[in-house]
Amino acid sequence: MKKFVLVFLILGYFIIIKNLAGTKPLVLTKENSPPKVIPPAVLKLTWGEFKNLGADFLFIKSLVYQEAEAISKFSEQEWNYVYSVLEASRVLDPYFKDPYWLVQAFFPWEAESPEKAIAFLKKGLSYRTWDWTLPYYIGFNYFFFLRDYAQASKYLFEAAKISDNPFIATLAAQIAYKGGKTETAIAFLSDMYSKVVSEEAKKSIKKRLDALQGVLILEKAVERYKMIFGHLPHTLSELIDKGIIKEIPQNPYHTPYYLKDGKVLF
Amino acid sequence: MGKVYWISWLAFKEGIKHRILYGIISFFIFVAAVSLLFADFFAIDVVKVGIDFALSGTSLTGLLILFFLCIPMLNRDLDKRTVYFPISSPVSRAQYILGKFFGLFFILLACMVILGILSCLLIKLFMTLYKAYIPLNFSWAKIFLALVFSFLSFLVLLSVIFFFWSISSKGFIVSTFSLMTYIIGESTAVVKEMVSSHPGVIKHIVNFASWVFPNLSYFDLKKVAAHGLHIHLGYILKVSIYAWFYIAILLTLTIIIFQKKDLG
Repeated sequence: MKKFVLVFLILGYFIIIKNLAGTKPLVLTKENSPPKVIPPAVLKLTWGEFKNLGADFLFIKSLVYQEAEAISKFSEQEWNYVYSVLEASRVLDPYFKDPYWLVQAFFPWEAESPEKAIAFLKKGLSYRTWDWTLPYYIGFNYFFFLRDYAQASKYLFEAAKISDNPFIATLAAQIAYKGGKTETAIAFLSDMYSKVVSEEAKKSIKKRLDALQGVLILEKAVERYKMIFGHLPHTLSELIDKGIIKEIPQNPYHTPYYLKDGKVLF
Repeated sequence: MGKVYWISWLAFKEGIKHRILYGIISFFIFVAAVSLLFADFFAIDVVKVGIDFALSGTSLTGLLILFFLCIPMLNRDLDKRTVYFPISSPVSRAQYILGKFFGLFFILLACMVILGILSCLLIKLFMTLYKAYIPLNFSWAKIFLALVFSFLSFLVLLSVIFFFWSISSKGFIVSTFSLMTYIIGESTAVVKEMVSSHPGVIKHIVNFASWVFPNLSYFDLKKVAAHGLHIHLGYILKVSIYAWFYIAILLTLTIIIFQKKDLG
């Protein structure tokens, strides 16, 4: 009798295990339901002094979930679930880099939610104040996915202030210029130029600075032209013909400046 | 003073011989091994994860020592009536309490030294394996500080255990109340933050509780150590003074209660 009961229990145990294996750890009822984030205070209470370990555990949980499922076929709800787990990890340890990295790696690209990635990354700015990659990712998302050049340059400028990589400074300036913020770009680059120590970096920044100063001269000339004649010039040479400027500035990148829809480009 | 030393030496010898101690330290080694298995799941902050495991493992092991070694050791004295041996000799009850406290203090200190060395070895191993992922402002001084503050929190909890032990001689009650104090102590800061905007009686109750129960979150410097965050010297001094005041108050209360306790 005892053996029979034991066999029965073991059989039942295996049936339960088999059923559990196919069960997803999330309960989703409504289409497009918002991410279910456990309130931060509850999370902190639950993990007590082991919050850092909790953050690590939740990060692994989100990673394992993504690896177990085919992320290319993820529904919005599944992405919401991953997002909420990563958000929980971030709440427990807002200094932990990996959740920010994972959100940037997947949400703008696979989940097609750059806005969500930006919102997540922005939360880390006040914590990881030494890390230039967070504002850099935000700036990149604004630039590449949302085509918001003003916001992109703003965050890339922030990244450049933290990083000693001159590439970010020149990129930020280039994007600011594209967004019609040439003067901001020049001011920022001038500041960077005065602070940077490396000669190589100085050279790179100076080149971009000179090019943008040329753009600014031409932009101001186009503005004056429009004020006098009531319409935009068709080409930059018209500015010389009408005596607004004496000559077109030299572009240090050796590509000529030109006019397109009233914008000075090179 | 000599009598206090004698009792503390006896308590230390008794504790250090305990087999459970080796089991608990083996638990830390297990945690360290698990951390190495998990390391490859992380992308960037791998050394930070190693520090998390090392410091959290130390905290958890310390708690296990308090609850599974210190409490049973204190209760054994009452259960097996060995408490009468020192008390029947010319030793005051105050000396007995202080002797026991320092005995357990030195057991915890010895364990902390071992766990601290193991933690540092684990962190060093992570740093060697994942050289490129060492936190920007990493410092051994901050790791040491986090370990010292963990030890301080154990001492605060030890004084809590002594206090409840003086009230009740039942091991289960001492463990339950001490565990409750630990949970409340860890939650005080968060709960205070939660009710800060709620006017009324709850806010006063929480404020009162924060005065009575130890705020153990003050001693949690794991984030500071893991990310190399800046910490003010003033904070270190204030929290250290807070801990020693709390311990002194509870030990004094323990002595007062224990002196009035009917051991028969």
